[in-house]
Amino acid sequence: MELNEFVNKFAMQFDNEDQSVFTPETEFHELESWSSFTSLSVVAMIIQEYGVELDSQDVRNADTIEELYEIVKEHQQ
Amino acid sequence: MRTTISNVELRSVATWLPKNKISIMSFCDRFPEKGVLDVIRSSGAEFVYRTDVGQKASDLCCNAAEFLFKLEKIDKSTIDGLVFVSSTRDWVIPDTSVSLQHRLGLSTDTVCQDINYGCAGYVYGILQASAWINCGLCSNVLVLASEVLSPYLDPNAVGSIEVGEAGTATIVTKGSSHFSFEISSNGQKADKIQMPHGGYLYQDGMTVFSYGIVNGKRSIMAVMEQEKWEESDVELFALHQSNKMIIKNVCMGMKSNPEKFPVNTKEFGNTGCASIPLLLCDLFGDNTKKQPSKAILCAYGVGLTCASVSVDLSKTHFWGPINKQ
Repeated sequence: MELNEFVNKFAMQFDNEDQSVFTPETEFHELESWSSFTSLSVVAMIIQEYGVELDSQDVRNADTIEELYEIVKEHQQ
Repeated sequence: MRTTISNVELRSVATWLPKNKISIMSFCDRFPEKGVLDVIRSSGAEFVYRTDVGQKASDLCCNAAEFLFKLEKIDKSTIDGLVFVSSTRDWVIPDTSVSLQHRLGLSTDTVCQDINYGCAGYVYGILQASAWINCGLCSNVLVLASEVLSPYLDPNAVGSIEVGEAGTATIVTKGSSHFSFEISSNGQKADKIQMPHGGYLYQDGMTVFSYGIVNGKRSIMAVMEQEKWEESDVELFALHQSNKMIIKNVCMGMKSNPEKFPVNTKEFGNTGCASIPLLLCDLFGDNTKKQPSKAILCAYGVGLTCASVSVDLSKTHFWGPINKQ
């Protein structure tokens, strides 16, 4: 699994956000569009695409999209 | 755990709704609109039915059962078992099912038991009823399922406004079909949906969401394996109606057709352990759709637990939700 691909899939969960906002360094909790709906969409994408069941603590532990990617990778091992 | 119980069937199901139909948008008077819209978008709920102050789950179920007896012309003396599934029982002791035996005018020979469960509770109710029938204890068991959570909603938490209420009554009898069950528990997540004594309902929505998607699919596949069914064999997947995104994602994970995964949260919100019988009454109560002989019911949530069962619904009598507006 590749980081850029993960960032793209993450970004696809947001229809009302400029896609250029999303980089590995993006602090996603700070986004105006980060809401219960978009956060659930991201968690669902991670189940469907990576087969990983994250809980709310996992998502809280990540500040950036890259950190979330690392957590998903840890769960996969 | 998995098992199959033979010579049982779901005879009939009725649902009774409380009279207050409330628009979810009306909660904008106490919560920010953005939060309310977010709940609508993820859960799919736009309306909920709520009880009057003081109206209990047992009252809703009593009404549902009385209607079912009348509509089905059931001789009450034939009912020999009563299961009351609810996270909001009348008292800590005694079991509410025992008082319902008297309120419904059932025989004192009736076997009565409460099951203190929420979300997945309906499947536990069917399991208890069919086990009583299978061991020879009972022939006709009334399973009542409802929870009234509105008195326990945190006035500062927008995340629970989609809670709806309904009373349901199901009759499980000796019959020619069978039920295959799959049930699992994960007590490590016991604090993810919790209502402490004297406190408000708390829910870690994201954790429960992930759990539902992963375990819903796993549990359904386990039932299909017991039945030797492929996805294409199953006509209906009736899932717990807590959140439309969970249902959509279980469907996606199984590469199935959304038409087989009906969602009615829009009209009713999340009615907890009543959601599956309410869904079935709403789908089939008007007798216009073909009722499936191969259906799987699946529910997940509080516990955290997940439970599924295969059922033949082709001969079940469904009555449309009473008081539906």
